[in-house]
Amino acid sequence: MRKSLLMSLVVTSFVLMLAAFNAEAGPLDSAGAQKSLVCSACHGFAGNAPGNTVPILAGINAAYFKKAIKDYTEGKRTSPEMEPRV
Amino acid sequence: MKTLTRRTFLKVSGLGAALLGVGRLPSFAAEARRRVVVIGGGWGGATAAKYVRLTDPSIEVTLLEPSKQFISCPFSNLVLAGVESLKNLTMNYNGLRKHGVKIRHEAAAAIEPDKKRVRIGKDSLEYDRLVVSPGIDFQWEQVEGLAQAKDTVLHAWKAGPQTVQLAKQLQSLPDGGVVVMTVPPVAYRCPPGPYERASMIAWYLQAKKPKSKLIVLDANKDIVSKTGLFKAVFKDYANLDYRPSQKVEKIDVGAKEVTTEPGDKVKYDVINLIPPQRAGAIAVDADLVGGDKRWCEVDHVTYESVKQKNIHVIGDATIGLPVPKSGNVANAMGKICATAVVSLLNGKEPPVIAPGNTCYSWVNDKEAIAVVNAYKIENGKVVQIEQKLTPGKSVAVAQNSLAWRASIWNDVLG
Repeated sequence: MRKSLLMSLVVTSFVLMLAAFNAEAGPLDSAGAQKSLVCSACHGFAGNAPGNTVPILAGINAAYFKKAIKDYTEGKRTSPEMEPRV
Repeated sequence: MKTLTRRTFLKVSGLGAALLGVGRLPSFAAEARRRVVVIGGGWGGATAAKYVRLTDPSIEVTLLEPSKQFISCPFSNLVLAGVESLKNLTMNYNGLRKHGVKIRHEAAAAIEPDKKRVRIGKDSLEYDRLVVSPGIDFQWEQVEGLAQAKDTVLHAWKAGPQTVQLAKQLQSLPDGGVVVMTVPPVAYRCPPGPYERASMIAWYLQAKKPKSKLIVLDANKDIVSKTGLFKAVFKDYANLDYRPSQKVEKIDVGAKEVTTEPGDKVKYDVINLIPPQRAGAIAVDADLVGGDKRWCEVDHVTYESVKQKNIHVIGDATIGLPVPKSGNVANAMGKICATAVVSLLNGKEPPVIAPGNTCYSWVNDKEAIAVVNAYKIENGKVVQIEQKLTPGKSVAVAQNSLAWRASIWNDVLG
């Protein structure tokens, strides 16, 4: 009885978790995701740029990212694609 | 092992629910039937369908797109010059299915805003919010003789069979033959597109048919986009005869001749007539277009039509935003509109997000130029902050364009 209860608890929890996952907001329903919404055009879906001349933003170090943006702003790093956006 | 009785299940599921804190379960049940229908699986529509699902997977999304293939208009000018193949620009919609988008390869016959449904043949599809991304259609009647000859006079302005046909006509042109292409009056799909095409055809003729020439009859007073850059590029091509303020009024297929508004008659061996344009027919039929009967005005934050509630219009069919009719802008509109639609369906304030644009134009077999536009939203309207052009043509910009296309195709369809 105890075993079957435990099993049914696991199964039910899993089913409910799936339901809850579906009911939850998706991965893009956050302020950060919305701010970076247009970036994926060049930097790829979810920041995984498949090309070889565009930086991959997925998993990028935050400090490095901030420095790159600052460098574009100050003209230390040049890119016609990035300069108007910073 | 004891079998699970109904009573045990209810006890256990209650515990499971408590453990997960599933107070939201009733709302899931209530919201499960919310439906978004997207008309048109181009750069805007495909993106919108995918991003609604990503933003809120509880929303049912149906995409209506007659074609089983997505063929990229960007880069199709390279096919004309034999630098690219149409096969490399052709993709499918399987990636969207992985996000749970239901795809029906059928055309929407009509929109019934009062009943909130879309007619598809004898069938109909109900929606809570509708996204219309119909692209453009041609105003054949604007050029005398074109409506009768439209199957033989190629526009190649929707990438596909006509792109291949025009490439073949150029290949068959005898050395010394004359190619005429026309640029429609603004607004039209892809402002720099005709000038990229002129560059690529001129490059092809220079390389393969050195006695031939290209005459460009532009309805506009000057080059519409990347003006300085294209003027510099055109100097590379002695075989390119660019004539501004030459709106085509008439075509005589028998005489192989076009007549322009000033009355000039121009003979051709190969003609590429890009007709004047308006929003896709479904948007016109549903009265989503404004007083000009051509384009659709929308809210700059939500892309909801100013004429019809619960209907959003994105992509080339829109007007009033200071943005070009480009694939990149349609992709941005698709994402922004998706977040707005999800917010509105969830009773939330839509986020305020400005679009962006990066647009590359190839000018020969190895080099390209680009323009980048940055925007912000001010008092509920999109305004341009800055526009930057590349200093000139370069191999590096062409390489960046290849990285861009890999990224954005994946963003639209992956």
